[in-house]
Amino acid sequence: MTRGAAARARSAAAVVARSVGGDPAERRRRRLLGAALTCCAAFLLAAVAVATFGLAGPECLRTPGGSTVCVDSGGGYTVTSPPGVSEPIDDFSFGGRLVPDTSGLAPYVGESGLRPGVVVAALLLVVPFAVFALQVVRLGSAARERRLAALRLQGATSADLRRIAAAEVRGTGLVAGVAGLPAYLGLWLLLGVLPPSGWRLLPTPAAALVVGWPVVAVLVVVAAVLAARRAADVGTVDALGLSRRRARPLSRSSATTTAVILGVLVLGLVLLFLAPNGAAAGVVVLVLPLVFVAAAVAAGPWIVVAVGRRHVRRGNPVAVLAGRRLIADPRTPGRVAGVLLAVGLAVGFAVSDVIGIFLSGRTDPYDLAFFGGGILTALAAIGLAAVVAALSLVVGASEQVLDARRPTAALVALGAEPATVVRVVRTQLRSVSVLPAVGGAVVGATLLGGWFAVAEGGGRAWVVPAALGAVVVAVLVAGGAAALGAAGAQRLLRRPLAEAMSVESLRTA
Amino acid sequence: MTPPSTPGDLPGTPPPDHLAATVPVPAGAVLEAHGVQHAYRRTVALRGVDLRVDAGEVVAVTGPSGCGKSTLLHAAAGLLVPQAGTVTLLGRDLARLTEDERALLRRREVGIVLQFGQLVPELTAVDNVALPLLLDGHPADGARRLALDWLERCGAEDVAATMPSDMSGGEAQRVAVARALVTGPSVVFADEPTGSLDTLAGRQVLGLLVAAVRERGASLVIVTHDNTVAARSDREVRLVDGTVASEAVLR
Ligand SMILES: Nc1ncnc2c1ncn2[C@@H]1O[C@H](COP(=O)(O)OP(=O)(O)OP(=O)(O)O)[C@@H](O)[C@H]1O
Ligand SMILES: [Mg+2]
Repeated sequence: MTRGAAARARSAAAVVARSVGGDPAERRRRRLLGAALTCCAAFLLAAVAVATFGLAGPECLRTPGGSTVCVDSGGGYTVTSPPGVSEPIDDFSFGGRLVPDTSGLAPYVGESGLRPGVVVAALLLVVPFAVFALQVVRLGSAARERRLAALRLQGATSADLRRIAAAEVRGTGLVAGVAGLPAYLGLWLLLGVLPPSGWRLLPTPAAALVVGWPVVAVLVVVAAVLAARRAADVGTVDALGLSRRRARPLSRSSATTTAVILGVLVLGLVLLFLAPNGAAAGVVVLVLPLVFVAAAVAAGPWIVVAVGRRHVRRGNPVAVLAGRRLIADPRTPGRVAGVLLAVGLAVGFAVSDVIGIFLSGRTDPYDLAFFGGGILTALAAIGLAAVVAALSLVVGASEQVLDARRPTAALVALGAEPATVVRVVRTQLRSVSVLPAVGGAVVGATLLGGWFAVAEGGGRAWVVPAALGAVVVAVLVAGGAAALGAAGAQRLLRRPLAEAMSVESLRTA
Repeated sequence: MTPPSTPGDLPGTPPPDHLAATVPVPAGAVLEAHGVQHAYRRTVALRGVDLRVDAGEVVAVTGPSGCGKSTLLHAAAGLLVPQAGTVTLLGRDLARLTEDERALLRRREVGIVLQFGQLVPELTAVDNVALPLLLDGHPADGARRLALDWLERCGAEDVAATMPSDMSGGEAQRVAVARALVTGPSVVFADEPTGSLDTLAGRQVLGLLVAAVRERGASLVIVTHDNTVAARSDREVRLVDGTVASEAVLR
C-alpha cells in the first residue's frame, strides 16, 4: 500500500463526506452508529470499572452482626467486631451472607468472588450494541451504493473503496469512543448512585477509568474500522454505476470459526457436567457465557439459512419468499438471531434459577433479597439486550424493504395482495426472533435444570418436574417477548413497507 | 403423472378456467377508460384521457417523456385509482373494486412487464415465473413445470436456475415476459419493456411478447418510445401533455 493511494482515498473520502453531509439517510446512519458505539464503550468501561474495583486496597464489608470484615487482594481477611459481638467467620465469609459496606454496592460487585460474573455480564451487554453497530455499518442504502459506484466509475479500486469506508466511520468511532466516558458516568449515576444502598452495581469512578478510557476508545475505533472495511468488501458495486446486489453465501472460513467456537462450548459443558464442583468449574462457569454468546452470534447466520431452507421447502409463496430472503442475506439477521438465542438462553437460566430457589425452600430474607436482586438485575440486562436486538432487526429489515422497493411494487403489480407482502416480512421477522429465542430458552432451562439435577444428585423429588416446568415457563416468557418484539418491529416497518408497495416505487431505480 | 399437454394444464388439479389453453376472451372491449384525470401534487399527468382496447388488439401508447404514458398504464392496470374518470377492465369498474380484488384481477387476468428491475431478486428465474401461480394457490410442482415451459417458449430456459443479478438485461426481460404470460392473462400491459435493451435484444423480446400475446388472442397495451415497436401494433395512441393527441390505425 502506497502513501499515494492512502492520500487519494483520504481526499476521495473528503469529497464523499462533503457530498453526503446533507443526505438525511446518511446523517441518520452516523447518529445510529455513534449511539451504538458509545453504548459499547460505556459497557466496556463498566467492565473495566467493576473488574478493577478493590484491586487497590482491601475491601471491607459489614456483617449483619455489626462486625467489619476486610478482605485483602490476597484473599486473607481481618475481622473487627464491636465489643461483645462474636460471630463465626464461616457464616459471613463468601456464602452470600455479607452485608455490603458503606459503598452500598450490591453483593455481586462487593464480593470479590462474585465480581467476575458482573464483569462477564457487562461484556455480554456489549454484544447486542456491537451487533447493532455492525448492522448500521453495513447499511448500504441505495444512495450510498450509487455514490460508491460513481467513485468506482472514476477509477477507484476496491482497496480505495475499503479505505473510504474506513475513513467514513473513523471519525464517528472516535467521537463515540470519547463519549464513552460521559456515557459511563451517566450509567454510573443510574446504576451506582440512584439505587438504594446494597443494590448499587457500579463502583465510584476510580483511576482505572482514566487508563481504560483511551484504551476502550481505540478499541472501538479499530473495531468499527475493521467492520467497515469488511462491509465495503462485499463488492456489491459493479463498474456500470448500477449496483447489483449479489447473494452472499456464507463462507467456509465462517463455518470453521463457528465449528471451533462450538467445539470449545461443548468442551466447556462436558467439563462442567463431569466435575460440577471441581476447581475448574468456577472459571468454566464464568467463561462459558462468553463462549456461548460468541457461538450463538457465529452460528446465527447458519441457523437463519437452515430456517430459510425449511421455509422454502414448505412451498407456499409467503414461506418461499421469506425463506429466500433469509437465505440471500443471512449475516445481519443471523447476528440478531444469535443475540436472541443468547437472550432466550439467559431467560431459560433465570427461570430455572427462580424455580430452583423457590422450591429449595430458602426462607432467609437476606438470601431472597440476594437472589431476587440478582435475577431482577439479570432480567433488566436481558430485556435491554432483547430491545437492542429488536432495534437491529428493524434497522436491517427496513434496509431490506427500502432496497427491494421496486421488486416489491412489481410483486404487488403482479397481483400479490398487500397483506401477502406484509406476511412475508412478518415471517422473516419471526423466524429470526421467536424461533431462536424459544430455542435458547429450551436449551437454557434444560441445561440449568440438568445441572441442578446433577448437582443435587437427583435426590430430590422436585428436581425433574421443576426442570420441565422451567422449560415451559421459559419458552412462554422468551417466545412471548420475542413475538412482542417482532410485532413492534413490524409496526415500525409499516410505513416503509407501505411506501415500497405503492405504485410510486415502480418509478425508482 | 403424464406431462402436461398444454401449458394450461396443471397436473393433479382440473385446470381453472383462467388457465385454460385458449382464454375465452370477452367479445368487444377489454379495456375502456373514460375521461381519466390524474395529478401528482402539482403536476397534472392526465387531463381527461379516453382509451378503448378491443379483445385481441395490440395498442401502442407513445408520446414524449413526461406526457403521462406510465400514469395511464398504471391506471388501466388498477395500480392507481385516477382522481377522475372511469376505468373498466374486463367488464369490471376498477374504482368499485377493493385493493385486494384488483390484486386478484391482476393476478388472474392481467400480465405486467416493466422496463427493468421487476424480478424478485432472491428468486431464480423459474421461481420468479412460478410465483404468480403460487400466489394463486397452485401446487408447487405444476407451477414449476408450467414456469419452465414458459421460460422455454420465451427462449430463457438457459437461465432457469439463474438469479436475476446474474442475468443480462435481455434475459431478465425474457423472464419477465414469461412471468407476465404464465397465468394466461387476457390483457398484458407493458411499460417500455425493451427500454433498457440494445436494439437487437429489444427487438427479440418485443417479437416474443407480441407473438405470444397474438397467439393467445390476448390484448396488449405497450408503452414505447420506439417507432419500430409502434409499427408492429394494430393501433398507435399518441399522448401529448396528458391528452390523446392523435390515434392511428396501423392494421
Ligand atoms: N410521484 C410523482 N410525483 C410528482 N410528479 C410525478 C410523479 N410521478 C409522475 N409525475 C409526473 O407526472 C408526469 C407524467 O409522468 P409519467 O411517468 O406518466 O410520464 P411518461 O410519459 O411515462 O414519461 P416517460 O416516457 O419519461 O416514462 C410527469 O410530468 C412526471 O414528472
Ligand atoms: Mg414512463
